[in-house]
Amino acid sequence: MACKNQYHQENGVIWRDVYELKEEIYPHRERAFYSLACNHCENPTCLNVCPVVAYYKRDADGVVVHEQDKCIGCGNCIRSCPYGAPRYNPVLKRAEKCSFCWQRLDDGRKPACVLGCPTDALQIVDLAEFDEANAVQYPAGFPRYPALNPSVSFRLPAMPKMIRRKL
Amino acid sequence: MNINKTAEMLLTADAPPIRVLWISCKNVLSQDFDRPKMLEAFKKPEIIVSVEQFFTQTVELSDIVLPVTTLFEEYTINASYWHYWLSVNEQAIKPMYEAKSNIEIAAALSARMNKLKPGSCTFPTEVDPRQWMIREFNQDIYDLFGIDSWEDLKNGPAKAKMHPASWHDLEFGTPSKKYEFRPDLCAEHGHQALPEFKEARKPYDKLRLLTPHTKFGIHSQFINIDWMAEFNKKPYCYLHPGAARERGISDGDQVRVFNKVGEVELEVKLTENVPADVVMMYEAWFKNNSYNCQSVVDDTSSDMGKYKTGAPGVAIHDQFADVAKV
Amino acid sequence: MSEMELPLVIFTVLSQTAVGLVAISAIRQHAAEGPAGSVRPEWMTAALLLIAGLVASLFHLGHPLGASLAIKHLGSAWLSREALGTGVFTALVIAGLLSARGRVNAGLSFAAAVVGLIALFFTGMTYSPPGFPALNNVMPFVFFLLTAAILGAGFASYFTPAEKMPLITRILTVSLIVGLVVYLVVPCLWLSGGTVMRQTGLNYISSPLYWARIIAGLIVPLLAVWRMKTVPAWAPVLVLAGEIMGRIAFFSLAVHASANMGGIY
Repeated sequence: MACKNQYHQENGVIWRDVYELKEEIYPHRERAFYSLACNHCENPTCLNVCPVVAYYKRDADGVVVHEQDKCIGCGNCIRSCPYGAPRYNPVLKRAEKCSFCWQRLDDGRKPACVLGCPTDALQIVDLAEFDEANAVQYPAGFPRYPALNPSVSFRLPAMPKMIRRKL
Repeated sequence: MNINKTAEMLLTADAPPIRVLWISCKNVLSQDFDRPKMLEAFKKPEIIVSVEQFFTQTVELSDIVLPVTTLFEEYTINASYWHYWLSVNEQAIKPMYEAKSNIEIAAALSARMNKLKPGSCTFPTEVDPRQWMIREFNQDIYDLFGIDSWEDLKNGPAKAKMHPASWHDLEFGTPSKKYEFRPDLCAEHGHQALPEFKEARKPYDKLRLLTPHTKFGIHSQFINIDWMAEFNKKPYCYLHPGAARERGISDGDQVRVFNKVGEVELEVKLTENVPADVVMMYEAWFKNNSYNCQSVVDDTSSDMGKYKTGAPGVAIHDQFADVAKV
Repeated sequence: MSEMELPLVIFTVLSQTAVGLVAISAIRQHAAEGPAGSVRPEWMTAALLLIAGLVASLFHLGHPLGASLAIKHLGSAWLSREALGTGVFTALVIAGLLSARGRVNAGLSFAAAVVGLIALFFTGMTYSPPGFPALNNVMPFVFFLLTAAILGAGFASYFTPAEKMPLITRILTVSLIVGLVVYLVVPCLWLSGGTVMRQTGLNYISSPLYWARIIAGLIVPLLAVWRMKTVPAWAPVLVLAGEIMGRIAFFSLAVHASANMGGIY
C-alpha cells in the first residue's frame, strides 16, 4: 500500500503485491507472506525482450528502469517476466513496473515500500556484500529462474508454535 | 444518552422523544452496533440531517445533507489514533461551493435556534474557524508537545512526549500508582472493589462471533477507497475446518453468517487460525457490497467503560452466530 | 482471453499460413516435375494474408504508430527479429508476386521460403518466454511450424494442378497426423510438470476449445483427406477455423508463472 500511496497507479495496476504463503508451505493461513515487486534481475528478461529498448539497467546499483514514454505497449515484457513485475496500464496503454523508487534513491531516500514497512520485512542490501548464511534466493513459493538471477534474498519464516485451550 | 446504543436511544427516548437527528463526523449506519435496529430507528425522527463529505450509507437515509469542508478548505488540528503526532492543518483553498466547516455549520444552527427561541442553544452563534482552532490549545497541550505556541506547528508536526507503553516507568495509572487489588475507584463507579466472579454472557448461538479491526481501514473508513480495495477486494469470514465440515461448507463457499440480530453473506476461508467454536470477520464498508459486520452485532452493554467514556462499552467479544452455506 | 491477444491470434495464424503457402509453392514449382499451378494468385494470397496479419498485429500494440520502432532491439529481443524477419519475408513475397511469369524465379522462391521459415522461428522464440513455463521451450516453434504446414498445404490445394494434388494431399495428411499426435501428447506431458505447467495441461484437456480444435481442425479434415485421397475445397476452411481455435487456446489457456506465487512450484 505504501507503493500505491506513493504513485497512485491506475486501478488494477499493482507494482508491489503481497502474496500469502499457501498452507502447503506455511501451515497457517494468512500468517506468512512474500511482498514482491520487480526483482531487478541481473539478466532481466523484460529488458532483453523489449523490442523498443524501453528498459535499461543502471550501472551503479543495478536498478532496472522502464522508460514508459518509449514503450509501445506490445506486452512482451509482461508475458516474459515470470515474476509478473511489469503490468499493463490500460489508460496509457503502456507497460509499467516497480522503479525501485530510483528518484528517491538518487535523493538519498529509501523506496516507499522499505520506508513504509512497519515490520522491517523489506530492506535494501548490497548483494555483493550481503552474506547471511540462512538467507536464500529461491524460497518455496518463489519461481526459480537462474538465467534471470533475480536480485533478491529471503529470510525464511520461522515455524510458529500454536498454543490453544482444549475445547 | 448512551452513545453506544444509538439505535435503542432513538427508538426509546421519550422525555422528550427524539424528533430531529443531526449527524456530524459519523457514519452511523456503517459504524454503529445493531444495524437492523438502526434502520428501524432511522424511520422515527421527523427529519434527519447529515453533515458529510462523502455519500455514505447514512447520507443515503438522510433528508438533508450539508456539504462539509475537506481538510484543504479549513483550518483545523490533526491528531490521530495511529500515532502521537500533532499538526496544524492550514486552509489551502476557500471552501468550494456551499461547503462550510463543521464549526460554522454548528454556529449557524445555533444562530437559527436562538432566533426562533432565544437561549435554546448555548453554542456560539458566530465563530471564526481559525480562532476556534487556536482556542483548542492550552498550556497543558503545549507542555505535552513541547511547543511554545500553536504557530510552532507551522514548522512541522510535534510529537507528544509520551511513552508508547504503559508501565514503562513501573508505575500504574492508578491513584496509588501501584497495582490495586482492592481499587476504591471501582467501588466508587458502581463495581465491586474486590474482584468477584461474574457469569459471562450466555451464548445465544453456536459460534462465537469476532469482528475485529482490519488492517485495511479504521472502522468503516478507507476500506472502500479504490486503491485500498486493490489489496482487499471483498469481505471474508474465517472458519475452522472442523466447524465447516459439520456444516457441509468448503473453502471459498458463499455463506450466511446469521443470528438473532440479522445476517450477512460473504465468502468463507477455512483456517485453523480460528478455534473450532469461532467465526471471525472484519469490519467493513466495501464499495458495491452491502456486507457490514454490525448487521450481526447487537448493542448489549458490557459491564465497564462508563468511567472513561461516559457510557458502558458494548459486549463485542460476547457475540454469537451460526454459519450456513448459501 | 484479453483483447490484447486476439490480434496476435490473427497475425500469427495468417503469417504462418503465408510461410507454409510460399514454402509449398516453392517445392511444387521447382522440386516436382509438371505444371506449376496458379502461382500468381497463390503468392497474391500469401501477400494479402501477410498484410492482413501485419495490420492485425498493430491492434495488439498500445501505440500502433510506434510499430516501426519495434526493430530497434535486434541484439537481444526476438520480437525485433520477428518484426524484421516478417517484414523481409513480406517484401520477398511481394517481389515474387510482381516478378512472377507463370512461375516465381527458383532462387527467389526458395529465398522467400527460407526467410519465411526463419521469421517463423523468430516468432516461435518470441512466444516462448520464461513467464509461461509450459511454453518456455521449443514447442511454440513446433506449433507454428505445424500451422504453416497444415494451413500452407491446405491453402496450396486451391492453386495446385490436378497432377500435383497427390503431393499436396500427402503433405497435408502427414502434417495433420503429426499435428494430431503433437497436440494430443503435449498437454499430457505438461501434466507431469510443475504446478504451473500442470495447470496449463489441465486447462487444455478440460477446455472445449481445445477438443473442438482437435476434432474440427485435425481429425475431421484428416479423415476427409484420407478417404477422398484429395483435399476437398471445404477442408482448408475447417483447418483454418481449427488453427484459430488452437491459437486462441495457446494465448488464453497457458498459465503464467506468477499465478502460483506463494505456492509450491
